[in-house]
Amino acid sequence: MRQAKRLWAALCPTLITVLLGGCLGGAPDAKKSFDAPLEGLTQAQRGAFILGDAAFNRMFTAETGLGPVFNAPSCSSCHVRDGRGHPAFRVTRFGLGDPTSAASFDYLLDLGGPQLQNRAIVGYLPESLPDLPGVVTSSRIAPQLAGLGLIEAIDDTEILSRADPDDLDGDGISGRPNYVVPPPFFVANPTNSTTFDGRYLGRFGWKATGINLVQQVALDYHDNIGITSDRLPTDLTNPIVGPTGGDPAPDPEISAATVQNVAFYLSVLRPPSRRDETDAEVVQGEGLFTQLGCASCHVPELRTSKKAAIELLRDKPVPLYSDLLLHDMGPDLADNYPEGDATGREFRTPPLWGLGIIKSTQGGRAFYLHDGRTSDLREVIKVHGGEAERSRTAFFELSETEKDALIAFLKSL
Amino acid sequence: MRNLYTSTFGHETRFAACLGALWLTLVVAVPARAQLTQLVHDAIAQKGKPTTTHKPAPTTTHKPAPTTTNKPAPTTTHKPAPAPAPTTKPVEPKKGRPTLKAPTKPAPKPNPDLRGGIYDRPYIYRTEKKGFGFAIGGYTEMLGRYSVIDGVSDGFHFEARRLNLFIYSKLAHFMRLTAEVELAHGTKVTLQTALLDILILPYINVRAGIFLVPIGRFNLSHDAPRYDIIDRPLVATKLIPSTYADVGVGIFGAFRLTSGFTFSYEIYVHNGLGPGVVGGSAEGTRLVEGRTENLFALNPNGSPAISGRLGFRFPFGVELGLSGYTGIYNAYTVKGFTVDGKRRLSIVAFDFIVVWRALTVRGEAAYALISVPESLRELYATRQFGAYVDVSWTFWAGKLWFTKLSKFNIIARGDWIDLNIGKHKTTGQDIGDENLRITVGVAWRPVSQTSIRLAYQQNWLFDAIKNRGRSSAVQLGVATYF
Repeated sequence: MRQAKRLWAALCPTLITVLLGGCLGGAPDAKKSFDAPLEGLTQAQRGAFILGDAAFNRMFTAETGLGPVFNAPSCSSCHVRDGRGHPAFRVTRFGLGDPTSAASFDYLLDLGGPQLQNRAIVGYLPESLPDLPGVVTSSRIAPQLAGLGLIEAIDDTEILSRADPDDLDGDGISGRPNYVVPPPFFVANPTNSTTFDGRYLGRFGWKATGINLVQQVALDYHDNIGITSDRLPTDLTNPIVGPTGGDPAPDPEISAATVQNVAFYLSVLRPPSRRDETDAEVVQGEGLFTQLGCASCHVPELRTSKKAAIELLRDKPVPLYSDLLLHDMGPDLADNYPEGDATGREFRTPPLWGLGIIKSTQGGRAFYLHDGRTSDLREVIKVHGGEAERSRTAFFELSETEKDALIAFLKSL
Repeated sequence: MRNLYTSTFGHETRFAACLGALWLTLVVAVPARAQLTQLVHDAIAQKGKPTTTHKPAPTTTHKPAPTTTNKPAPTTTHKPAPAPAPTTKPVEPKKGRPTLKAPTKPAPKPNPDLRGGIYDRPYIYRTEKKGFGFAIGGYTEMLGRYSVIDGVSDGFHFEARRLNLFIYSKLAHFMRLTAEVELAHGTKVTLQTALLDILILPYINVRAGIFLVPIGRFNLSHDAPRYDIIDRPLVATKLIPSTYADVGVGIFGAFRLTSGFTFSYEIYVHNGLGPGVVGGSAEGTRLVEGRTENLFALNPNGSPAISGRLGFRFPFGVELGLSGYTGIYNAYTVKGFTVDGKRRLSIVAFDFIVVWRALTVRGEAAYALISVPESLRELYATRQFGAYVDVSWTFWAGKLWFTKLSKFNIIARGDWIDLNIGKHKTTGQDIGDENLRITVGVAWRPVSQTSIRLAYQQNWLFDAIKNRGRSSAVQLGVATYF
């Protein structure tokens, strides 16, 4: 009897261990993540994706090139799991002057503008906001990255077809393209080659100042992490310290291939998938979304070009809920910080795909809007003004059930 | 504002203090040894009976040291030097008259060496001749591992984690040397110990060389075969950077205070952790990055660190430890130029072990305070905390198949570490950078110095903004002394 007890005592923990070992956890739900690749990548493309993923998640130190001034030590610090960033890692841009025009706005380049690099490697001085009267600041969290390749693959003409800068159709919605001056290293893609007065159509970022992904990656490495590349080979320094000095790593700190790999990685991230789209409440909310005019700016679907560089992205629907154009958002959202053709009251219509799962990369609590100021979608709608004022008013005239339905729809995106 | 962690002492003051301590221990203590020993023996002889009647300190109750094939570890070989010959001729008792018997069995001397520490090991070969001794031994650890991180697995891996060789040499009855070399993953060779002990009295001895820094118990007693769980505790690897060895000098000893209660201490000055603590890893403050490659050759800032541990041994196999470390970690001067403010790192740790019948419970908790430049706070932690408790229960012991005495242990461990205590300025939320780990398993010890173990491990990982990740692993491994 005693021997049997001992035998059981020996077997039980072993069995428990083995059973627990079987519960190693399955793969994460692709519908609730931002960091999965598109289906159908070739073997070579999967290899490039893995290289890009590793570079994207690489954490830099001073010895490997971080800084000397910086905002975060890696891409993934701000774009956590390729999702929307947390306010703890938001960046601040600053300047001085007329918020309605970039031409007459002073970006205070000699004082560290346009972006405040609020951190520095040990022994170096971080930047601080200049103590000048009337300095304008604009805080921004990092936008989500999933689906960027599809956005890049949309032809300029598809975006411009919805532009109505003078509101000729009289619907109260204008929609302006943001033409931006490209950096010297810029090389146009087949889908974004439209120029206007030597400027290109921007489509990435809160104010649509990014033209394509390679440009955006090189700039973000440089401005946010202090990493030099062949495109931007000089370290960013604090002007107060002077143009010399910096981190101990030789420049360029990353190769051209790294920039290309990260750009490719971003371009083949799978866009967020809808969830519960057949739920009755969600269906009702979707109808209200169109009925209230929200879909005038948050256009449910665009289409990629047949000329897209990556075959997998050609001629595909892009359910992003955005027209990628600039709109006047009224005084509550205005940051008074002009960029390109965007005034201090204008923002690019942010894509809404993934809205329901952004909290999964923000520590379990969603932070909405460009500065992450609120976790309440009703509050988000409440601060919509300018061109969105009519839709906002209509939303708050809905019954509570209808409001809930519209919120449920937004969370299904 | 004045930095709270900045030392108020100048560089020269600390240097003078270090020299003073060294001089005190080497010049004053060594010659005093003979006189002190004589005084103690005289006192015992005058009292006429042992001062204590209790059993020796439970230095031999810890089982990992082999009791079957190997000779005992040399914990019991550390004996205070015999009393030198008295300068005056002792009075001979007169024949035929009853005399008070001299104590035939004096109280065992308190052992200043840690149970399970570097002197409590089996050796494959030992020899001792005419007061000189030599021993050589080692241990090895290997495992197979299948892990899944956030639902994705890279499959099964074998890992030859480490092979350690150690030697012990008794140079004289009052002097011993021990050294240990680790070959990690078959390629990386590190010197973990190379120290010389001058044994003066149980309560004061001198140690110089490369030694294990006494922060917590695990750093001092980390041999893989001692544990039935394969992975080391998080607090002892990610907070206390085990295995953390440093070069320096210090004193150690033990006192028997009352029956069954022994108090031990050790205190050292050494180079200390380097500037990698902040900035060495982009993940945040990582004390392990402070172990610079030339740690044994150069103090990064010229300011020695101080560390020490107080140990309390109680009856019934209970031991407690309280330890601490403090030192400047950054290179604030370079060639005479002040390039940065002084930044201090301080760690306090508490450890315990209870061995009761077939049950062993042990644990450790540590708290670190790190001075970080203002602009890097939040990204780099100013406070860290971690703790673990593990339980091992021998549920079966006896002759099994070809073994003479097999033991089966059930093992469980809970690990928690918060590598960035604080709140985000922007949202007021707690900063993450945390790891909770639960490990359960079973181990078979066919002989006492060999552990064959199977374990399941589940981790809950939280990044800086508290996004939760999950990883789990099944491990099968073996660790053995030789």
